[in-house]
This record gives sequence, C-alpha cells and structure tokens, in this order.
Amino acid sequence: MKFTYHSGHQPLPGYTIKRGIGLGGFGEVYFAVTDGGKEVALKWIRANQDIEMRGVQQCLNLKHPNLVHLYDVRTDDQGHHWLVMEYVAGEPLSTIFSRHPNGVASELAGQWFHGLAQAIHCLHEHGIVHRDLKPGNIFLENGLIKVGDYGLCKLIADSQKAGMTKDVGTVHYMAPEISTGNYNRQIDVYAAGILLYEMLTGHVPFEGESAGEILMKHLTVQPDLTRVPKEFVPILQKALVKNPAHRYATIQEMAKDVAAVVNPNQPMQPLPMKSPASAPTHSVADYPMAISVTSTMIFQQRWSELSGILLWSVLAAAILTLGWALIFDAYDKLPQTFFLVLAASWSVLIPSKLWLPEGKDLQEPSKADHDSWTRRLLHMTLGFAVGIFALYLDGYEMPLPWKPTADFEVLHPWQANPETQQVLSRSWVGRMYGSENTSMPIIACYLSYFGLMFLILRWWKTTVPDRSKRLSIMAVLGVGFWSYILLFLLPSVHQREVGFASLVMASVVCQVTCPWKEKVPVRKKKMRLATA
Amino acid sequence: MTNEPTAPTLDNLHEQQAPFALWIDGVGGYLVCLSHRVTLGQALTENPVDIALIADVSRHHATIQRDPEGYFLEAVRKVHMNGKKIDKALLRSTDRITLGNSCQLQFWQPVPVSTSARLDIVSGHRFAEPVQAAILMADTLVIGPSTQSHIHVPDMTQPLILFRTKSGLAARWPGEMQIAGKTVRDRGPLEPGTTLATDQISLALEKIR
Repeated sequence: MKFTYHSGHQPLPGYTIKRGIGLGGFGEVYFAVTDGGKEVALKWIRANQDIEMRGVQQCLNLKHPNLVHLYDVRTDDQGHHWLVMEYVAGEPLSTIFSRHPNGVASELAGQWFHGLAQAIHCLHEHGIVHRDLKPGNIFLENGLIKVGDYGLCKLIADSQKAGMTKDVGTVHYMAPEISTGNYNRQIDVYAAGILLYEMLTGHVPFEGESAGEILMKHLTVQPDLTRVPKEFVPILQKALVKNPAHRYATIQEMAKDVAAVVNPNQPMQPLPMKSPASAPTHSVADYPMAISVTSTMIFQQRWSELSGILLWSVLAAAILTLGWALIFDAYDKLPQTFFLVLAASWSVLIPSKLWLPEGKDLQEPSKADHDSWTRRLLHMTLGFAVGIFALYLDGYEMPLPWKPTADFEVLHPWQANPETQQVLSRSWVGRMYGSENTSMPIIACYLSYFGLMFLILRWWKTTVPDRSKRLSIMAVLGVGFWSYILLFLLPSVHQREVGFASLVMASVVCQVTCPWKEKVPVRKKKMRLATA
Repeated sequence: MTNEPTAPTLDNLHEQQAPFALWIDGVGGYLVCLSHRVTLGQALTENPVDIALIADVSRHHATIQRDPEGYFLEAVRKVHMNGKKIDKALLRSTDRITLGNSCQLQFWQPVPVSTSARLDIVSGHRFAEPVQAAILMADTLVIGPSTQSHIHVPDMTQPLILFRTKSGLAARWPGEMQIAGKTVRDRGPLEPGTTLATDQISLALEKIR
C-alpha cells in the first residue's frame, strides 16, 4: 500500500496523521489525531475534484449508533476535499468473513444483521440509499456493527460513469435492477440479503470469473439456499427475489422476520475464548468481547467441515466404483475396490483438513508449502496403513507371530477363488508370499506400492480450497502415471487392477468432495472498464 | 579511535528506554516498550506509567518485569491472572491479566525464538495512546506474514525484523528499504521519529511523552 501522506504530516491544520488505514475506490483513508486528542479517520476524496459534495453533506449530521459518524468536510490548501469521520477501531466484516469460511452461528448473524438493518433503516428514513453495502464497508467494533461509506455512493456511481475503475468485488452485492439504472432503496435490501447469506454460509451466493458473469447470475440465476439454515430460507428468498416489487418493501420488515428467527434481544453471546475456565468471574464477562478465533474453534470448524466431506466421499466412492465396475465388467472386485478407494481418500482428506499449521487461515492452506516433507511422510505412513488394509481386503491375514496357523478360512466372500485359497492355506510365513512368481513378500509389495504413491505425490494439494480447478484432470493423470510406474511392485494382475483403479478414483473422490473456492481473477484494467 | 561508541550516559540510556509508538500503514498502531520493567496504570496527564490505560485502575496498578526466567507480573493493587488473585506470578503466552474489576489484558509471546511479548486489551478498554496493543520488546520485534509474529501482516511475503543494537534500534529486511528517505539494503539503523518503507510495508516510529 502506497500512501501519499506519512505519520506526522498535517494536510489539514489541526489534524496529525498517524498512519494510513486503507486505499478505497475513491481515495486514501488515514488514521489521524486532532490537536485536542480526538481520534478520527480522514478520507481524502480523490475521485473527482469537481464532485458535488451534496450527497456527503446530506449525511453529515445523521446520528445512529450503527453508522460510522461523519464529522466534517474540509478542503486543504491544495483544494483537496477531506472527509473527517469517526475512527472505528474494529475490523471490517470482510476480514471477519475470511476467518469464518463456513459462516458464523445463526444467533451471531442475527445480531449483526440487526445492527446492519438499523443502520440501513436510518439511512432510508432520511432518504438516502447506501448503494454500496459490502463487507469492506461494514465494521464490527466491540460487538457493534458500524456501517460506513454512505453518502459517497452517489459519487461512486458518477465516477463509474466517468470511467473510473472500481473494485470488482462490489458486484457481488449488486441488485439485478441496477442494470436498468434503478437505484432505489430496494437495492440495499438485496445487498443486505446477500450479506445475510454470506454471514450464514461464508460465501456470496453468486460467484464467477468476471464481473459480467456475476452480474448475469444476479439477473438470471436463483440463489442456492440449501447451504443456509432452513429457518432463513424464506427470508432470503424474499430478500433476493429478482423483481424489486416482490422483495421486502422495507429493511425493517426483513429485520423483523430475521428477529423472529433468531431473537436478537438476547444478550450478546461472545464467541468462546481459548479456555473458558480462564474467563474472569467479574463484570468483565458483561463486556462485548472482540471476536477472536482460537485454535479450538478452528479445529471444531474443520471437524464439522470434515465430517461433511467424509460423508460425501462415501457417496462419491460408491458411484465411481460402481461406474468403474460397469465399464470394465469387474463386479467381483467391486466391494474391495470401494473400500480401498474410501480408505485411500480418507487418508488424504482427514490429515489435509485437520492438520494445518497453527492459526493458518483455512482459506490459505496452500501457503503451508514449507512443511511439504513432513506432510509427505505423514501421508506415507497413512499409505502404509492403506497398504495393510488392501492386504486385508485381498484376503491376507496379518503376520502376527502369536496367531496360530489358522485353518483355511475365507475372509471375504469375494475372495473365494482357488488361487487365494491356496495362499491362505499356507503357514503364516508362506501366506505372506504371493502365489505368483515374486521374490518379495507380499506385505512389502503392498507397503511399498501404497507408501510410495503417498510419498511421491502431494495429495493434500488436491484438497485445498484455492486450487485452480475443482477437479483437475492433470492431478488425476498424475496419480495414474505414478501408479502405472509403480505397478510392477504389485504381484498379481488382479491386485494391479485394483491398486491402480482405486488410487485414481481416490484422487477424483478427494477433489470432488473438498470444497473449492473460486479465485476472483485479477482482470486487466481494460476488461474492468468494459464491464464497469 | 573516535569511531568507538561512547559509553551510554544515564541520560541517553533513559532516552533509549523510552517507549515509542510504531505506526504501520494499513495495519495499526503499537506502543513499543523497551525497558525491562514496565508499569501499568491509569492514564492521567501527570501520571508517568509506561503503559497508560483508560480504565478504572489505580495510578500504578501493576508492574511487568522481564527477567532471564521470563516475565513476572507484580500486583500493586488488585490483580487477577486467569481468574485467580495474585501478588506475583510468572506470565505465559495467552495468560489473561485482569486489573481491578474490569480491565482485562492478554499476554502473548507469539514468536518462539524471541522473548519479546505483546499485551492486548480484551475488555473493550483502551490504551492512552491510540494503539492496538503494547509490545514489550526484548531483543527483536517481528512484523511478518506468519502468525508467529509479534505483528501479523498477512499480505507480506517475508518478515521485517526490528532489533536492538548497542546504540539503539535497527531494522532487518532482505532487500531494499527507505529509512528516513535514504535507501539502504538488508539492514539499517532506526530511531524514533523516522519512517521506514519497503515495497511491502511502510511504518513510522514516533517519540511519545
């Protein structure tokens, strides 16, 4: 971030800049302290020197606890316009959302929405449409929602017409009727609906490669409400309806329905802290605590995410193996392949989702490349376990010395072929050698095949949410390639077929079941202008 | 011979130990305490505590002392640590300190190889200076992309390290940086009142009080 002014500068007499806060679409924002000691945010409005400041002036004297207060509009010696605002020490919702990739609890979302709705209501009551509601404009300070950047929105719309570039992210909150130039208060209701959806799920309902694609989805695609807690579905349906005439007429109506679902009059429930036992017993508990995410919470969140993924993987594995068996006419190998696919994919999914470096953002696990080898070795150990499981599925018993040389027993119904019967009827040492010509003990074959397969490939890469594609054919081909190379390790044709097919299918299962977050590509300026 | 550093006088030693404010653009403000003994108390204009709090606490409420064994919290008035009343206790990372009835701070040592620590207010109170946290700087202060940094800046790709030298403070950054407008490579001396900018981060040190 490059700021024009630095700590100690006084662009406006009486205001000393301490640090830059951020760069917005229409100027730079600074944290400053007045000579009297008041902390303020200074926004240098650079978008257009000739803009009419009427929009801002209309908002200058609005008072509401959920609005970021505007104190003054000033002009410096060089003719620059500065907006003097309340300094909000909290974080924007965008930062909070990135820490909660699966959304927050309904009660908390309800409380946040309540604050948001009050702020929007206050604006609407004064005849102001916000027009640019987005997580980056909404702050959470000591549990209280603060909506900012109102009054400047007319300005943004104008600057867009003037060809100014603009953050692509905003289109995620744009109501469909904006395309027709209709900017009434219904667009704030729509944006509030999108924000509520994002609070509950961690995602916006419409994602896409380009601003144009997202706008098209706003116009035509119905939001997928299956991820939302079911009591919110009717509310979001009504808030996100395409035709503004069928939407909630006022934000108050929507807030009432949300309140009926979550009851925001309950006292603020702070998110659990690291160790509840350490919480003091005095009045501190009454303070709305700043939201902090502890490692236990991250773990719980991952655990809940993981359990969903594991369930889906069972279904995916079943469909894949069934399809495979149908195509290759391999019904006899169906159950063992299914279980092997499941074992292999679980041994990738479980560590990938649970074992991330402490405090790493869930969305950015790919940054954890530095411990590649630790991960590979962990996967290899799990690969050994999968190998032993495969051995068991193939009908071999474990070479446990204390086990008596068992009489012949058919371990699995699908193993009732003479070849394996012969193997099984040998002594426990002999049992570990294949029936075909091979000098390696079977256990070594299985362990080396599965162990190496898990060591060579970076399996966890296929599970990170920011991978380039949901299902990468290259990743599947990679598994196929290495598996093919290492197939010589497995002694019999039967085992090779199963070993090859199961790992390839496991790779597909992992990618299909792991959530994937589409990256918003950095687009060329030209393209942004074209769609803006 | 003239280049030899002069022995620190009592005056400039005191000057070196004075807390300063660290303003990082786009990140936040921090109160950096260099002394091995810092006092905590209420923010009053005539009150010379190191960490002044706008809270219902006494003028001098507690002291945190950095010893070779670690940080010791010494109560002057009512102090609870993790909910237990204490007179003197060794602080560990994530410990919660309650001064008086309501002002609660959390103590962190996020960098395993550094003894420097960080104090965050978790009860909604404020420091007298408009800063997010106080940093008790022992040897180094790590500003970086890892969560194991005293100041976590996710957008950076490598850490910027502030460290103590014989004569004061210096910064280490693998690459070019501008300190007080001059371009230096890899490391350069810092003093309160200067600005530092790299391609990834810009900050300023401000003398306070």
